[in-house]
Amino acid sequence: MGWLTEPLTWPFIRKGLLAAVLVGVACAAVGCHVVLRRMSLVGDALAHTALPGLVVAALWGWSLFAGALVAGVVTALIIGWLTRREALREDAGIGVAFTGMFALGILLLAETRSQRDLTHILFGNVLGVGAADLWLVGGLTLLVIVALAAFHKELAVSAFDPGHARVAGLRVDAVRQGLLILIALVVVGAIKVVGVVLTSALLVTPAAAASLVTTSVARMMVLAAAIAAVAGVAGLYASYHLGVSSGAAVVLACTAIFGATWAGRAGREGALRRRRDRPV
Amino acid sequence: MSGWRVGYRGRGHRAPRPGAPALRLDGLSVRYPGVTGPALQGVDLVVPRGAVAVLVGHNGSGKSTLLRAVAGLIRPAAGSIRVFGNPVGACHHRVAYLPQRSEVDWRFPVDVRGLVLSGRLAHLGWLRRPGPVDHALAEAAIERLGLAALAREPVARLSGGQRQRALLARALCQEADLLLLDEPLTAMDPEARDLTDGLVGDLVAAGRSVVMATHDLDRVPPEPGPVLRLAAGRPVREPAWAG
Repeated sequence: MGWLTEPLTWPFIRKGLLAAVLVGVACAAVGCHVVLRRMSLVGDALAHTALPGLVVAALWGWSLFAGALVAGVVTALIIGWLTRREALREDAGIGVAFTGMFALGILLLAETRSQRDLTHILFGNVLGVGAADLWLVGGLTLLVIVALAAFHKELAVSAFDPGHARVAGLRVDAVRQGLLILIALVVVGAIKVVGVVLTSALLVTPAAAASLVTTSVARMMVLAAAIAAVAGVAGLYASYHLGVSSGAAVVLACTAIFGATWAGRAGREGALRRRRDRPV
Repeated sequence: MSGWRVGYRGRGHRAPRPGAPALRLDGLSVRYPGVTGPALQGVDLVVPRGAVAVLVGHNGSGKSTLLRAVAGLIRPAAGSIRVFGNPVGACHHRVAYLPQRSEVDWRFPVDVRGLVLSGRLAHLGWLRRPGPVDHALAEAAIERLGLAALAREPVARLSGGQRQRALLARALCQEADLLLLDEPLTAMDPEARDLTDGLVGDLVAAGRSVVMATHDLDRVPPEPGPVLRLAAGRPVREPAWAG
């Protein structure tokens, strides 16, 4: 059991595990709405658009979290504004905001001299989280879970029947805007764990795996959160024992769970089909 | 439904004006952005409480536009709409709308019961979850539309006719006083059509009002109230209902 307990003797591993689980749970829960609304591109876009915020924060000595948070929320508002009342298709709005902000980040990046910061931004540094980061991530996770629980029916109904929601008086655009801000919040946490490049995996993969096995949004969210938590722990242990990148290991653990779920479902459906087709 | 409630638009739960009809349209005109010519022009209609009004016309005549305007989905370019004497949006919970082609994402993970229960949305408002009364109403609506055996089925597995029945059950679950039904019998089998006809009769007997759009003159209810015939967005003045 040494392989299980030995890493826990290191405070940075304990903090990293806690951060990975908290971020994973928040990302997976929000990610269910992302997957159900076919907005998978948005997580990737919001992660990439955090880049200018991160670079400005690094240049001016601000908190990287704060920089990413501001850039993410600004982008969420821009996307929401461009696509309100279907003035522009959502993928086009995301494409415009995403590439513009990322290009701005690249220009600003030339001003920075630190290669180390850049690597952490692109690939994450969960083992470098401090106590302040943990409080922030914990707060974000709590906020996201409370918001998702409080507005569950509005998020669900405006996703599966926006027309009915509008007739009931619900501002569907405002709900979508709120969801975009929630996504921006969890993306900031996810950048710390897996970096800009892999953030959308934490949003999409656990939710996609959960969607294969359940037909209820609430159950899907609980299951996706559990998958993300398990993948976070498994990824960090793999990173510790194999000496590989922690962010990539967490994402690959998510992918492995998705693959196993897919295979399990395909196997079950195949068995059902064979039983049905068997001559009587 | 007593107790604390925050409606979706604050003003969405106004009481009916005494003596006002269920629906009154005065000179209603609707234009779609970027389209030359109005989709509806100069439409007057009064639907008394407890009556079935029928909108008759071919596809593209403006029936759906009229219902969408009453449901608050399109703003009129001119004229006025009064629902129980109030402007559109002042009593969301009193109006149920069954569109001809719904925007429902049928692959969404929700079962029939969840879909029907969403009819309670306007009554619940922000932060309130469905309670025992809401669940009982949903069960009753599911039973009434003959969907009890499918209550736990994901909506993705329903046939076209079953989907239409589920949407009708949702409208019923809303306990609306004015039901806007846009071609409700489309895609239904004869049994479901009879069920729907009976349902409309029961609603009217209970004092509810129904506005039903149809292009099929054979499917007009036995004792219709006002009949509005539309052609190219304009009311056709000659007697539309000569039997």
